[in-house]
Amino acid sequence: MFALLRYVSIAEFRRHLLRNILTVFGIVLGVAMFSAMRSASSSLSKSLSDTIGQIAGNAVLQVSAVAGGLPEDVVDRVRATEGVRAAVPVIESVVRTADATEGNMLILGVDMGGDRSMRDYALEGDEDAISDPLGFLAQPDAIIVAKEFAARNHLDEGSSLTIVTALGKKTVTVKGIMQPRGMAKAFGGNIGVMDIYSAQTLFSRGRTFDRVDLALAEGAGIDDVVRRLQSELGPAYRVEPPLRRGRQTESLMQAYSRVLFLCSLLALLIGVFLIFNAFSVSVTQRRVQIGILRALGETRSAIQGLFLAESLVLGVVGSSAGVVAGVWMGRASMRFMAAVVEQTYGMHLQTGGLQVDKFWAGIAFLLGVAASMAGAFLPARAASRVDPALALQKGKHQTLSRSENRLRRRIGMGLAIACIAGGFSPWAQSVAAQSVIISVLFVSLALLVPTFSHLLARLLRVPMGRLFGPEGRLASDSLLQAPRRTSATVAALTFSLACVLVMATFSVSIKASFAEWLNSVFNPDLFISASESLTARTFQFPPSLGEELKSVPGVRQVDSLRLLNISYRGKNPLLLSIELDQWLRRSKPLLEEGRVEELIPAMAGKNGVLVSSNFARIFHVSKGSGIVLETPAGIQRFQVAGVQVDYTSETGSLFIDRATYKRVWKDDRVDLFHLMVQPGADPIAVKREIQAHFAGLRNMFVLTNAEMRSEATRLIDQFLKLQYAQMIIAVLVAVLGIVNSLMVSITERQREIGILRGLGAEGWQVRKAILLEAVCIGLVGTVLGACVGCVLGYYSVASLNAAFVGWVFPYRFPLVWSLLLIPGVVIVSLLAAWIPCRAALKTPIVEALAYE
Amino acid sequence: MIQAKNLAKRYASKRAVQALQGVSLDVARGEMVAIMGPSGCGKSTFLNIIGGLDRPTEGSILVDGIDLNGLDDNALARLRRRKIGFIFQFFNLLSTLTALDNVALPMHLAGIRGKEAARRSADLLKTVGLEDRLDHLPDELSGGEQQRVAIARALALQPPVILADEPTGNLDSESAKQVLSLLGQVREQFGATVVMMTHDPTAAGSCNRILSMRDGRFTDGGS
Repeated sequence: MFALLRYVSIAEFRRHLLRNILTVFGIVLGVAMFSAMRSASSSLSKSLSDTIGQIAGNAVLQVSAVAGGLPEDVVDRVRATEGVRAAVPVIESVVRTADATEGNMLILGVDMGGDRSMRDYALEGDEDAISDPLGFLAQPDAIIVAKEFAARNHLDEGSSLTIVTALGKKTVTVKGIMQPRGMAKAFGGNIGVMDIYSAQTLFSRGRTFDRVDLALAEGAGIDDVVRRLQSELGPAYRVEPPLRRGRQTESLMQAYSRVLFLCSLLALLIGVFLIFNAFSVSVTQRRVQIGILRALGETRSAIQGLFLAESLVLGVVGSSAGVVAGVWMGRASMRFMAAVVEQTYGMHLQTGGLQVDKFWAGIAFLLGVAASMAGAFLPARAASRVDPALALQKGKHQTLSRSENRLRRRIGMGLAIACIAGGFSPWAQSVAAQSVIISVLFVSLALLVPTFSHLLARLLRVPMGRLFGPEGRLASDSLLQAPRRTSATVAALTFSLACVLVMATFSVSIKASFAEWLNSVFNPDLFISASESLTARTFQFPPSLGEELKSVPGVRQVDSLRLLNISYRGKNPLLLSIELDQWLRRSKPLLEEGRVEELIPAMAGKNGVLVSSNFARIFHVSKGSGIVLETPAGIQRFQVAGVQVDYTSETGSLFIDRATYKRVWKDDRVDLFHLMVQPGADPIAVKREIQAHFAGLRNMFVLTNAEMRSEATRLIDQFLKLQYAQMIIAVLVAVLGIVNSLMVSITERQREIGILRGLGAEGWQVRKAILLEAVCIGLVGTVLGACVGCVLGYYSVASLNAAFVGWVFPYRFPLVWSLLLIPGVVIVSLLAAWIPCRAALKTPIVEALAYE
Repeated sequence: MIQAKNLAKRYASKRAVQALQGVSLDVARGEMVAIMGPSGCGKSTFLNIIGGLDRPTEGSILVDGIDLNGLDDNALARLRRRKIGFIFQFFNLLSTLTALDNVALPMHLAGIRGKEAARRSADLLKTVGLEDRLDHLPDELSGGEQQRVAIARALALQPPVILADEPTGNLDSESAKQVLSLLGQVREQFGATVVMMTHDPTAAGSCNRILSMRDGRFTDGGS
């Protein structure tokens, strides 16, 4: 085998170098994406856990309030609990620095006296700054910053730093620099520490803390201490290890990883088609060589082995290159995901070093090799079946495979019907079942593509002849009579374009559904937020502000919205509370279950809850179901009063009346005020009035309805950015498929082109016929891709998405994308065919006629 | 009809090969000439040059009074289409087209409309005895039948010159006999000039003139 590889295959590789490079590129792309996705995800997870760990220091457990802050007495109760060695209160707030380019900064408010047992501050220079806590306490504006941050902002001891807080811009003074180790490395170095009581004032925490970090006494078991603390503090408080706090961010990263995973599988699938195509052509071209080898005594299995060994070599080369490219791609993905995490949750993650996940890089490598060998399997088998006698007879062309196969068609059709029927059935609504269904659906489509391709080519025959004369006829006839040659190209194109359309459907449907939802519930004239970011909420308003706002001229109605991530059955859905009657007066919730008039009686001041449709799907609840929640007032049972369309949270949302929230969660703070202005009043004028009224007193972000919609749309666009990145990759894979397949196809047809030229076809006629054939292939692939993309697009928004995130978006056809695809594919097809077409025309006719 | 003067053809490679060495030949209109010789003697090279498929390194070639050296690639293509019909040893039919479409192909290339081309192609296939094989693909035809399709294709635009390269080389004796008879019939019916390269003495025997070639030169009859 090695001798054959050395003497036969190397020469073949060299002879068709460009084809082999293009073929291998599909594998490179798939492996790179697979490897990158895993490496980026695990590096960011590590960065996230490092950040949490660095901030937590020696803390084994953290106590936080389910809603609101921790009163000071809680710290004493925690300290008094058996098994607790040390308990230190902490205030944690992400703020924006005045220099927007520096991004967010995490400020920890700590008790300087006791916190050094919990965290290593690694101060440089004047250790006294921290060794003298009283001195530090005496300066309410004092802050210690990480060296990295200080260097970037040219800060030194004594420098001033301006930060944006709920009370407006505040200036603090740098009193110490932390060396870049331990905690100072958290948050990408954008970290500062200040005295806890100064932080309480600065961040409007009143007399409360955000959490208590605690270390355990020697020999104390974590579970025992958690149990004791939970029993001591009651359900109003959460006791958990520090790392659990990163759950929400982890889930966002996992969602992105899943999307990238699907993308990498697509690239590998296309890679299989490219390999199949290239090897099919190679077997045809090397028919004589196979005949000679068989005549020299090689067995059928040796021939099959030779082609499989060649695919193995290609797979190894492509996969190795893919793993290397994966490092580069991983860095880019990591930066992208980190940016999304920062924009969504305000958490700055370190993206300095990508840690290649060796295990998954190995899996990616093996997948690439397996994909290469899978693609070559059928052509290798066809090679083993070459009749040596026929192969050695010049001019005799053995048909290795008949064009159509009824059995294949029936199996494909049966599988497709089973998948579509199964996909919408209730038992298939799990992620695992949907993944299996999608995989089988792709197999069934691969089996059906040649049949549909043939049918479409027949339909094209007459119009092509009428529109483009004999060259058009030649082009469509060639497509029709050589399904084996074109079906792999069409299949690769179909899948790539289908994926582009699925993603387009997904984003168009999300955007349209989101717009409809915004129209139904986002109708306040003004929104007032304590935090600049709608998703990273670090400041809340006191309820009294609502009354103040009502007194501003032009304001008619003020609704107070509180948003809280709660724990429910291992996930963190979002709890929203608002004055229900006021909200229902101005909004028209899109109810899937229940009626609007039933909501007030069931929910106003009562334990009634309106859940989002994705919450209902994720947790399998419906109208009338009971939901048991742990609240500061103890275990509370709520009844589902209705199910509404709501896109606030990917983990689901629960709506309750504000009176119920205040009663049960014992929290009256507000994240967002919704304002309606008096009839005839100009919202922009009222906005200015509010800004003037609170100028210098309170930092608040006042947004008009249009601004808020634009911000909400920006968030959706940010979520869809990855979708667009995926679409670009799918388009890239499609282009690669077209270029590779057409180059292979045209190279294979050298003899045919020679015959045409021998019969008197002029250069432009040959060129026209070839380019038209490329366009035909592109059109057939586009039509099939559009059909498959529509079906899969519908399936993805209606069923697949429900399994992944619980949301079902009404289907929207991506008209613009579909219209763009046709000219796009035609142009790419023409460009892809142009180079091999020119090469074919340059080949001397006599040489082309002798081409086998 | 064909005037070749001092044709030479050299192939440049590691060891230069002189395929033709100053070959001259005149073929009159309606004549049927056979060129015989061993493999590698330059027969096919000569045929390719007079058919405009290849260009000589030296010398001149006139077909129906047209100097091929003065033509660019497209003009050569038009000349091949209008003046020359090719018949190859391995038929060189397009495997994706039916017999009818293969014959109609040169007509299509010449801009003859579909229905007219189909009618004339069917007539030609009838002439070669394949009226019941119009819709068959080359793979579905025997070697003799494929060569008859190739002859019909060569006649598609009624060219004054038919060039046949080993037209019976890949056929059994019965098929070979049919093809030769057909070529004779073509010459009489269409008044075509036929130049045939062959190893087969029987095939050569059906021609008016037989020339022998060896080492890139005619050994008799030509110069």
